[in-house]
Amino acid sequence: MTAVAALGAESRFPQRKANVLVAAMRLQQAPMIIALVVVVVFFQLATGFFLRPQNISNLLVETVPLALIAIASAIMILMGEIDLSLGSVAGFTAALGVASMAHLGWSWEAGLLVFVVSGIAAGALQGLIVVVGRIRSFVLTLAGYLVFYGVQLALLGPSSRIPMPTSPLSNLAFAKLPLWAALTVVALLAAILAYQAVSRWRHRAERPSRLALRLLVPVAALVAGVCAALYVEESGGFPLQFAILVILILVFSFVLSRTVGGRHLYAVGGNPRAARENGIRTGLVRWTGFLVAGGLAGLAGLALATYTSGADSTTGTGSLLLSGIGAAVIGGISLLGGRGSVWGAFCGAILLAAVQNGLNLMALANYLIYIVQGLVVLGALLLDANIRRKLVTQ
Amino acid sequence: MTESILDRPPVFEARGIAKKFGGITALEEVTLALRPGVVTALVGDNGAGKSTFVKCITGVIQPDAGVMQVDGEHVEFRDPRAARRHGIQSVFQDLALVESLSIIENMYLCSELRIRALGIPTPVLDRRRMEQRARASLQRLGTTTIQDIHAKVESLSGGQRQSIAIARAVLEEAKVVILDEPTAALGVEQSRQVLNLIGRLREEGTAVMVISHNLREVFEVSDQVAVMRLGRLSATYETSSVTEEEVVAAIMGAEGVRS
Repeated sequence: MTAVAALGAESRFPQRKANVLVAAMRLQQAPMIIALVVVVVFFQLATGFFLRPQNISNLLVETVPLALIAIASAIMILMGEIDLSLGSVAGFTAALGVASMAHLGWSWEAGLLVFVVSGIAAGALQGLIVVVGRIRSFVLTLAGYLVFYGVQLALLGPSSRIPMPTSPLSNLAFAKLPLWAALTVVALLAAILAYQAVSRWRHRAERPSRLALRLLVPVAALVAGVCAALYVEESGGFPLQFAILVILILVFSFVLSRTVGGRHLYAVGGNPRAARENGIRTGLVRWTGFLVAGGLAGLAGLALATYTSGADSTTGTGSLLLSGIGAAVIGGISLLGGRGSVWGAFCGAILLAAVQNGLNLMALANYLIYIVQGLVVLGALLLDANIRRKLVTQ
Repeated sequence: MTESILDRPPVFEARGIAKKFGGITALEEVTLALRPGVVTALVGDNGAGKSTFVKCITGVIQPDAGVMQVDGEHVEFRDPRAARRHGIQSVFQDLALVESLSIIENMYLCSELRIRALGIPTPVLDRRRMEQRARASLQRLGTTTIQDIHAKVESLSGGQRQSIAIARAVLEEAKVVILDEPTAALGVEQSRQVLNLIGRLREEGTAVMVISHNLREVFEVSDQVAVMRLGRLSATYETSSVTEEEVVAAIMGAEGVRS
């Protein structure tokens, strides 16, 4: 904050100060980061061990499936659709993937493909029906939610559970990166964010003071990443899954913001009619979005299956889907479509995973956990709406 | 205006355009030439066939009869893209802008410049080149009120949005620009911006056709006035040699003087 205040004082016009603050909020997903700090402090005080390395490591692993569903939801919401079947698709792919290895004796590499391909297929099928049949995605995926859960139960059979055979895949949730690798990922992330910040600053020929502001995000990411990597080293290392997640988000962020297809996705969500009139093949764009979201749900199924060492009737159920959608919305993915970034959805997922983790540590009754989670989403939404309103009037 | 500009060879010519919807004749024998550096105003009452005619010459719908020529060559537009390929650009009333995207992104929507690797275009946007060209294009058109071309379109005024839509239309070699009621939703000052923009296009030698209900603007900006009535082109005037009363009479169908 002091850096921000200093930048404001240095400017020529008093109005600039407010502009800088607003820019800082815009840049940093400010409400979410404030909320995250509040949540972390609260749970540390309430439990006394929220911040222990082992728990941070657990938290990072628990974030993965939620974040994957959040990105998938973000893609759907960005293009003006919604997918209520993502949780069920994750459960279905988990059941199919584990079954392929446990019952059919397929190798773990083939199993990995089953997770991803079945998710993509589920998304592609639903997307095809939505686009060609001109059905609202809300309704179709509500049906899909039931159908895929039914298929999941059918695959699981009477025992309702298939354990994951031992393989590199079964251990994925607990695999750790050596410190140097974790630091490399962090450095890579910070470098990419810094490159983006500098190129954006140079691109727009902004004042030098804006560069410092823009560099806050990469510097914060670097510091937080290095601290986290060093800190969780004590618990055995940085979770491999989380590192993979970060790389995946980098890729999605690039595709959505820097490629033709990504911008078309935003255009389709922002104003479908204008997109069509400009010659964008909106049906194809939407279908591709469904397909990619399905693939991400498949990866979420994999993350869940490795975390629970198998698939059962609860895999992909519960609050996973709604938390994922909530994380995307908290992260600034506007329900109007066409506005927001996957980074927001990622931050939102971390926030909600922290709340879930903390509530579990407090050993609260199950009903309370649901109620508190719901209230956190509501609170973040109100805060978010408030700030956005200020941005508009500014 | 002077005699000379209407003597220029037309860049676009439609002859005998006819269109029926079921049993209803929407267009009959419409013939119109658009010349470089000439602003043509298309006027007429509601239902006179203005929109249908514009849709025919921009490839939105296909005429039942008639021929079209671009630079003297016979053309047929199966879809709006075909018309655009021949340099016929149009800005409809809804502007077709995506409010949540930036000015640059809107100007290049679906005609994005891509980074090339080994001569092959990749899906990656060439943002630097798009920005340079978009900036140059806006400067050329004299749209001085737009400062940040990274701004989202939703932050722009109606006049600025109209300007962006027109700038997008002329980004790629436009021979003909067709504007559908460009000032209908605008205030005085913003209408002024758009009319200035039309003036720039004329200076650059673009053929412009403006559909308008505002006769005062028609007389201010156009070189020739084409009046449509009941699906026919009832009269074409040189703007400098006709009065507002005569044009109104032609629109209403009263006995008018054909030029």
